Amino acid sequence: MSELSLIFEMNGYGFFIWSAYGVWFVLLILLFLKVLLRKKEIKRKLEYLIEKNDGFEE
Amino acid sequence: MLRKLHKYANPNKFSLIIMPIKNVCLYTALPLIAIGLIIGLFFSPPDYQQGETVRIMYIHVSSAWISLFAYVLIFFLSVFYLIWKFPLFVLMAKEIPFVAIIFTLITLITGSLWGKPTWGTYWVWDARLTSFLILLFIYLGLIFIDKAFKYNVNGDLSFSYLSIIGAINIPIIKFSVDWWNTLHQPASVIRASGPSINIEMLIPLMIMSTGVLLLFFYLIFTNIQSAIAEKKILFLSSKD
Repeated sequence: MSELSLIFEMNGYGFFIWSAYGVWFVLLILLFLKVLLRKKEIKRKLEYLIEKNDGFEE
Repeated sequence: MLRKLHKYANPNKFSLIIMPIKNVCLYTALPLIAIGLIIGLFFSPPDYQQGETVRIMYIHVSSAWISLFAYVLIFFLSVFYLIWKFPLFVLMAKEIPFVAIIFTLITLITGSLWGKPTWGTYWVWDARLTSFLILLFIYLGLIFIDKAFKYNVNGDLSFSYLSIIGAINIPIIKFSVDWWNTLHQPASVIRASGPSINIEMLIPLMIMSTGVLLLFFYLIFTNIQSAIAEKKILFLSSKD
């Protein structure tokens, strides 16, 4: 338990270090989701249009 | 040589080529980032001056490098577009700013969280910090141009010219710590006389930076594929 609290405290700088890593993690996850959701949406639209155009793609 | 490369300028072929590269990037990036995080947070030594706060370096510096590298990439793609007029170049360049602005934002926020315990303040109008904030605004400008002139040759040209003009900020960011007296520390890794940073800190920093760079490439390649598919959608919709 005390070892865990030492890790979180980081000699009194825990707030700054963990906040920085938290911001880094959240922003990267949001970016990742944004990129993947865009890809998914475009794929869905493209499949619908290809089907509508009787399978003509090029 | 250039003629051989012409066939890869076909967006569909390019999209197929980057597919396996993209997956390799992701599956290499994730373990590298995990290893970098574990070593950086729990095994690397604290700095003799900055103590534990130096651990912020592993995410701050790697994000800053990506922000700068992304701009250099946009600059060269814009120059190539203006010279050879291959639409694929500007299509690729236009997919970078949104990803790069997130890394720039991470750099500014983590830098500010590192600045408070080190300098006693979250923000100063120091040359390095200000020039990095300008980089964020340049990325915003590029995103706005892209949104305002979607699928328009004038938009492509405006994007390319702005990115070339904005490139003046890159050497300013890099050398700001040498040209002016700044609170920000001078370069300790990429410098003429070699890295001055301790090897125990350099290893996790390099692992982390490589991981983040590969993740950046994965995100860019995915965005490029989406942009190519968007053009197909536009073509198919116009047939209706």
